[in-house]
Amino acid sequence: MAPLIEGFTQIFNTQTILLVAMGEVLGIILGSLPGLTATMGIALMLPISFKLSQAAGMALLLGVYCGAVSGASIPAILLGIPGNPNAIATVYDGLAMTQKGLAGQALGGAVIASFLGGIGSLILLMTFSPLIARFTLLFGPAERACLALVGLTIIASVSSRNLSRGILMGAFGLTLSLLGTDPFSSSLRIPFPRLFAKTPLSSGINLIPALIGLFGISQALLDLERIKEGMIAPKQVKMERFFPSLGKIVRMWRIILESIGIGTMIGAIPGTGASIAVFLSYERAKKVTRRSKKLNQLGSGCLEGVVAPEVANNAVTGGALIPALSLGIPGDSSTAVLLSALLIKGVVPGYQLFSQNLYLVYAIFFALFLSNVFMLTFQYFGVKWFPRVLSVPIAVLVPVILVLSMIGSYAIQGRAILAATFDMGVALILGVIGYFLKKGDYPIAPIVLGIILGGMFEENFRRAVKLAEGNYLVFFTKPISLAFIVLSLISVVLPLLRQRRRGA
Amino acid sequence: MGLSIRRLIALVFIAFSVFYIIFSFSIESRRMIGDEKGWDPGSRAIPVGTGFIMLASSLYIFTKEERKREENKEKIKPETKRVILINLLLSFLYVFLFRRLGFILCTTVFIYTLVYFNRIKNVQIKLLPEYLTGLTAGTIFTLLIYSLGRFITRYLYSWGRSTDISLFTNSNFSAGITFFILAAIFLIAVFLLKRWRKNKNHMLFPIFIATGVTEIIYLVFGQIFMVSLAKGVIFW
Amino acid sequence: MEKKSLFLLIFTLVFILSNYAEGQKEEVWPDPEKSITVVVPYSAGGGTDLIFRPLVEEMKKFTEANIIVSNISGAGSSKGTNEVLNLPADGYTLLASGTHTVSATLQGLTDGYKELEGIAGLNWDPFIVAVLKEKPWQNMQDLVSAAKKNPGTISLGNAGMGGATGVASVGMNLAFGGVFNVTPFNGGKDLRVNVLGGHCDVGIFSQSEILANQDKLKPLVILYNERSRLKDLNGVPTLKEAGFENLDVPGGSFRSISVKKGTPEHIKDKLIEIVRQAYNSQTYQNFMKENGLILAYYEGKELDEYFKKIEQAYITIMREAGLLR
Repeated sequence: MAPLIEGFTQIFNTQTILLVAMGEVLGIILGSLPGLTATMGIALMLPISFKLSQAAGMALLLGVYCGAVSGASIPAILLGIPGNPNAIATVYDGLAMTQKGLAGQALGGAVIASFLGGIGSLILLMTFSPLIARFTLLFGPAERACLALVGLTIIASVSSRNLSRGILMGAFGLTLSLLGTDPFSSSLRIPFPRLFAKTPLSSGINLIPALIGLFGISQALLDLERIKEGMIAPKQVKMERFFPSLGKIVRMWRIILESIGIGTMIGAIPGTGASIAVFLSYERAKKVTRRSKKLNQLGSGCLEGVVAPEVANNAVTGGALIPALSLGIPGDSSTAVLLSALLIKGVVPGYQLFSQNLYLVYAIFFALFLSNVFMLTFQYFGVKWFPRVLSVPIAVLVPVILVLSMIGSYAIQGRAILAATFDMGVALILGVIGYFLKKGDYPIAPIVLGIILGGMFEENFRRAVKLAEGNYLVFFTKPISLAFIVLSLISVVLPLLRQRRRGA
Repeated sequence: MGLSIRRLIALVFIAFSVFYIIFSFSIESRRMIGDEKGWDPGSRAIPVGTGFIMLASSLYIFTKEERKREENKEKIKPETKRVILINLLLSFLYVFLFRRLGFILCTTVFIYTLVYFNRIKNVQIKLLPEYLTGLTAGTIFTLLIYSLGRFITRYLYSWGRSTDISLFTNSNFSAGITFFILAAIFLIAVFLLKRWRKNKNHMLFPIFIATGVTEIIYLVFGQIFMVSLAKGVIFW
Repeated sequence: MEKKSLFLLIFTLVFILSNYAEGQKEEVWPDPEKSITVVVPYSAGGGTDLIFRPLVEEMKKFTEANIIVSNISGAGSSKGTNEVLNLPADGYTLLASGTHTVSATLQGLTDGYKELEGIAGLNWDPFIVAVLKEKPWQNMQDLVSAAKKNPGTISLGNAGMGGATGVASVGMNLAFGGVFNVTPFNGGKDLRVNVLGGHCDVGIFSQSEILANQDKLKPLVILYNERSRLKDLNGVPTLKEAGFENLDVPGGSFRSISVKKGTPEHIKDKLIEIVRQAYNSQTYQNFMKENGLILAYYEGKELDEYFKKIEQAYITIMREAGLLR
């Protein structure tokens, strides 16, 4: 009991509450701007957290973390540009809602979803942490390679009615992710290796510039086509309430609970990231709504399609903390920086944290709760104001988006000017490619997912074969990886069957 | 026009996959660290596989994709095409000149030019003087505000150090002060100029947008989030 | 009206410009308005990052300029290193160098330490070989004899080919006649998950990693010539004590601070002074003690000499592993 009270008092005092609020605001700004990631924000706040007590420092960083994850959905919904990779799946229905004049509702739904996801995963973190941590340890290279495969095939089937186009785009994303240096043997995998060996190309294409280019710049160019219409979205419908009613939320219970589960689990497996989680939950929600009569079909611009990925990506925050606190192994790059704040203060997360600094664990729980509450509060006010961006004429908005996209790509390596300028170029070129692909009705998300999962797939595939002494059958002998292979086969074959049936 | 844009893209990807497969066979294959027995599938395995998947799916799209469902999207008008081209061209110039000219100059010119031309239906050569005047004014206005900001920060720094008031040497604090002073100047300028010219002046509009956007991005990315935006020719 | 105001604007501008131009002449280093960047060639939150962040906090106390840590990770450690080499040698960019720099240079990924000059060497973080508690091997002798019985069946993981654990694992494998299945992982955390999950048999860890998972990991041997100074790890024998007399495995990561070649001497002296003060501060000394880091302080030219020693130790292993370029 004493550690619980200690943790409570460490967080619920004026200074710490103010710090969390500050971190939250900063995080939301950070998340909504392209190129500024949660990891970067947390790393930026590290020096400040050194000067605070352990609990207060963690609280500040957790505020930034939560804010950044939820902030990313704002540009995804309003402009079709995800602020960071966590919000890729939100673009589909979010942007469609904005085009229907329902931006406020989409944002409101996203905020509620973020809150539910955050709190849901916090509850899982508090109750089942040791169990989930043990579960994540089952994921070795073979399992993770197959999980990446699931992510790649699901996105191919989710994002377009046409599977072959999804697969082509996913493969294209893979080729982009494979550019650069081989992670195992340092072979250069770039065209004309002699020429480009010491240029930024040798370290490959960065995810964030690619994301910004493919989604942001291409969308800005598409918007320009409608410059005659004046605004990028039709006049927004005036509504009294922005937030979904309780009844509506209750009707979505299955989607919400499943997304919490998916988000927490995927978040807890180190090195996987939120992008698989959001697409898995989107795919699951699609299945749920297809069977239900009360819910809207996904993809047409409905609240369900915003809620599912937003619940999932906020559930990832709690999930990522599970292995971080219980094993000392962060679930993603943001939690890695969070942990270093503890390590520098001489607290070793993992075994020692629970045995010697239990109060700190409770403090982290409280801080996470508090940051979710603040997220809800600040976004509540924001939801009314953010859609005003849509009343800026295209002639002005598009140049601003273009500059923001380029500076955002630049910012990701903002200290390395040469590499950063290269990133701007990457974003621009991929933006043009993405523009033409969108005109041909090719899905964009599989490219981004290919870039995200390509490295994970290749590394773990090769590592698994190496660990199995050159035996390629290893993927079929382990139960989890076998299950994943079956799952990804189903997600490819099922749409084909459905297509055939429809065609007949 | 027998080739829809979708099949054209598929064709491009067929060519790309062929090149990619050739390229992936040309990758030098080095041994993984400590892999004496050759158990590692090697650097080429995944690229080659991906290349073939890409080739197969693009071939499938090119041959099998139903041709009847052509996009019935309306054709883009030539003037809209021109607008897109101008935007793209300027974006490429922006990237190329960013390191040389620096963030402040590039961004002001970029935003001003695009906001100016995006709003004009038919571009004529006689608009050039007006455009250039506006461009100069916009650039000077941005530079002025930027320089003032730098001046204040610098002054605060040295003053803070000489008087040992650590608050002034705190970068966040000085950024905040600078922000408020500059925001005030900017708003006063907007207000005054609107007063002077009662009619909705179209020429001033892009100038203010350009200056405002440049300064805000500089403040958020450069000052708060510490991105070292290229300085270029503006050395101070 | 407009002409007048335009004129006024230009006048003010010129005035301000001339003011700055004057300030530019003074050439004080460091310019308090500029930031000194410490480039850490690994991601934030990693082992190397962790050694430098508290040091930077201390360094801030001894200079007027702001100091920031910038993580530029990728391609072993060569991306960050190359980025430092691309920037001017003005003392505003420092590199978190060390054994990883030597290893990346020998692999031909960067011009690395040949183009760098030492500011200060900091410390060694010795590596510990550990297995999961459930595994049958009780000590190093057990492990090696099991590996020799069935060569290739026991996997030995490292945290990536570019870094110091990569060299240590190859060195260890060479020393025992190549009986292990050496497998690189994606950083220390990835390796730890895989060893904890039983997917990889043996891992090479730093001390703090073992501490985080004390309940699940069984440390077998410390790859250093003396025992750990940490209470919890003091019982782990050295290679010699474990019965391997004549083996020499370079097992640890050394961290230091370097600048690009050609940085003016007076700036280097100033930097050395800042780092020395920070290094000797009570906070940083305590930090090193708590984390079991072994002090290895060298200044300027001494560090350059020390790098040559590390290179000598590495070069044989790299050559035998076929990694030398």
